[in-house]
Amino acid sequence: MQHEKYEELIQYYFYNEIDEADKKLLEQHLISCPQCKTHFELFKKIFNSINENENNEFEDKLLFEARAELRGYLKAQKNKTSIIKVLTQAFSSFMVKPIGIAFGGAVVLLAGLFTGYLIFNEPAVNYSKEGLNFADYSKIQNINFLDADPDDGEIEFTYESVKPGRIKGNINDSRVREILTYAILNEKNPGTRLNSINVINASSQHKNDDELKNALISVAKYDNNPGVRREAIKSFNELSVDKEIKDALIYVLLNDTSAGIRIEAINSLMETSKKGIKLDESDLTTLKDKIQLDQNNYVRYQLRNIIKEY
Amino acid sequence: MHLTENELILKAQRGDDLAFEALIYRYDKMVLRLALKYTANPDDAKDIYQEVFIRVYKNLSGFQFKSEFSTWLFKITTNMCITYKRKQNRFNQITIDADDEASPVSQISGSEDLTPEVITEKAEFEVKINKALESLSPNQKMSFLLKHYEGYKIKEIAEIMNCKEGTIKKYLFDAVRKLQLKLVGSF
Ligand SMILES: [Zn+2]
Repeated sequence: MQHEKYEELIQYYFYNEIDEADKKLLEQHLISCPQCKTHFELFKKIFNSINENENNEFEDKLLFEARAELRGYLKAQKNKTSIIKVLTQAFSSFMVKPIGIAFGGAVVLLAGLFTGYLIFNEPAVNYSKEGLNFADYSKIQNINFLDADPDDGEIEFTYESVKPGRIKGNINDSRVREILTYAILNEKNPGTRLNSINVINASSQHKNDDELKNALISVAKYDNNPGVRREAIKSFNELSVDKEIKDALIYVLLNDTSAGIRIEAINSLMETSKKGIKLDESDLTTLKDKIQLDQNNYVRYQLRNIIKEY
Repeated sequence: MHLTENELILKAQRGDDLAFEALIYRYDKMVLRLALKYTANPDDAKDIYQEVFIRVYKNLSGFQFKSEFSTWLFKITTNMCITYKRKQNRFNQITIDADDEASPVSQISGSEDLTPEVITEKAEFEVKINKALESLSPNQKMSFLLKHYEGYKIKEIAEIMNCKEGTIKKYLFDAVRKLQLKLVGSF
């Protein structure tokens, strides 16, 4: 066999992908061939050096960023669909003569929404084919979808303005709750998102509303505003807690960059535990690992406390 | 919480996002590490990471359990790496420079009990290896990374890269030869 063949065998030897016969051949050859022995030593150095070259801290930080970016992207994708669903449900009961206006991205529709009331005030909306002024959104009503298919990311609907007046929606009205749920997820202004959470917590009929629960979970995990995330976590205590909420809290505890919110999540976990949603073995392992990793003393302290209770 | 991988895949296929996360978080560090090694650039690595998992998200419903999920995932990853076009404005970051504070190489952690000399030595070696890796063809480089950094068997690399085992052996042999040439005198 030629040296080149042995050079190849040296690789498989280190990869541990060599059969016994070849291994014997190689070992014998190395005794008598300085050239291949040099190759052997050189390859050994490359092989061992790379295996030692771990760079965990930097990779962990990068991984954290990459996960956050991916989450943001996927959340945006999801919302594209949920906006349409919620709006269709919320507005399907208003049906009036359509005025042909197309307009994509219904996000700001809820600008006029606060403290549990939908206010549609003042007449004379200036509408045009080009689009709407921001101030006009609060005057819109009578929405009628022409295209509610979200596949192309665009929807089309008609609207009409009305005489002065005010439409009140009771916070226990399922339609208003739906709109609020929508606002929690999509309203651009963090203050309005926060208000919406507060308002909806005042409703007596929301405790088993799955749509709302999912919205709050999503906000607790992904909202870019820490105040809104915190409010969502607190609001879990008003809901009928279940495993999904528990899992969301653990997620927040593991991923949130704000120590204050991680602590809020631990407090909530203690509450859910009191209400009978216990941590399982796998949760406890996760929390124990987190004690090793978390940078914040108080978070670690609280983690130890919660684990002690089990 | 103790779901098997297949259970997670099935749940994720039905639109369960928590299951999707749980599933990909089993492997995403490896994906990122591979992309980082391949591109030697953290931003590029994150781009690839993002593209890989968006593709996984969109195509998971079509996953038919004909191969391991991880093999499928690494197929996507290697493909993305090899076909990745670096963003124009990052062009000047291609080569990793030992003096470049921002490069991952200079951030080798001191969390183990390493003396400064050892850290420097290791960092220097990694710089050299990374430079040397630049001289490999995409396929040589990917084979080398999957073998030396991820520890895959040659047979598995062949499956991931859609080649015959013999082809992978050739890539690895040529890669090691090139690296040795570049690295001779570095030890
Ligand atoms: Zn020889």
